[in-house]
Amino acid sequence: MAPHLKGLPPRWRHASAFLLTDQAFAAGIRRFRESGDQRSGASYFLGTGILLWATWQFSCLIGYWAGNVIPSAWSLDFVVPLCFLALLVPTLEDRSTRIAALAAGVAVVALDALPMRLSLICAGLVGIAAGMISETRRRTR
Amino acid sequence: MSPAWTWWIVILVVGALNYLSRLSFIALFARIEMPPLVARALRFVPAAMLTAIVVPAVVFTAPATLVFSYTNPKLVAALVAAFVAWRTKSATATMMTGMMALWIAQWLLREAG
Repeated sequence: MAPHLKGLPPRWRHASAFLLTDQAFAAGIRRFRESGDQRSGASYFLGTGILLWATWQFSCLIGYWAGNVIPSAWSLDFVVPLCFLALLVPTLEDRSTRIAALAAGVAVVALDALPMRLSLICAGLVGIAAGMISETRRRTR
Repeated sequence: MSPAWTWWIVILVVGALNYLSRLSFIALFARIEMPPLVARALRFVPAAMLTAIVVPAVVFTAPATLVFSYTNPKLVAALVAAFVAWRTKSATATMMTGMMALWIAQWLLREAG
């Protein structure tokens, strides 16, 4: 996100950092890449971020009051990985990004025994490295 | 110090650290030029990190219990959802069909088992 927010007034950058979540990033980054206009991208991102933040606070309140009423057998927590899956699929745009995802997926299972969910960070780095290697090999060929 | 106070302090400190970690890159690369290698790596962050988040939530039915078969309803549902995400590019459709696929798979497993 940093390259896109560069050049904006510091106040905007600090607000953006506060609103930066995985979902806001996924919704905003596409807009930044497609429209060359930085201000339009930034205002889109801030709008998304504020809406997500408000919804999040509101949902927390509902969860606080009604959370215990919903039976755990409904497996509603599965919505979280589904949401990330919906964000993930459009990022698999070419061969290198698919290799990055594949490597990260294998690594995260292989490294599952690591403490403190370090497997997540390590697998992410493995995936990024795999993607970059694949990109370099394709370019030199 | 009362326990309630301790909790509030923990919440504020964790919140501040979280915010600063997000601000760090934004603030840093507003000042200095991003090294080309880092700029190249950024392209793979969403694909790699999102996969690393999703995969464990799908293939583990319990801590350290890897299930790679149709008896894992989460795996079945995730495959359905991935297909829907690919075809529709809609997060809402993905989450709704994914949840429905999960419930159907769980129900079928109960009926069969």
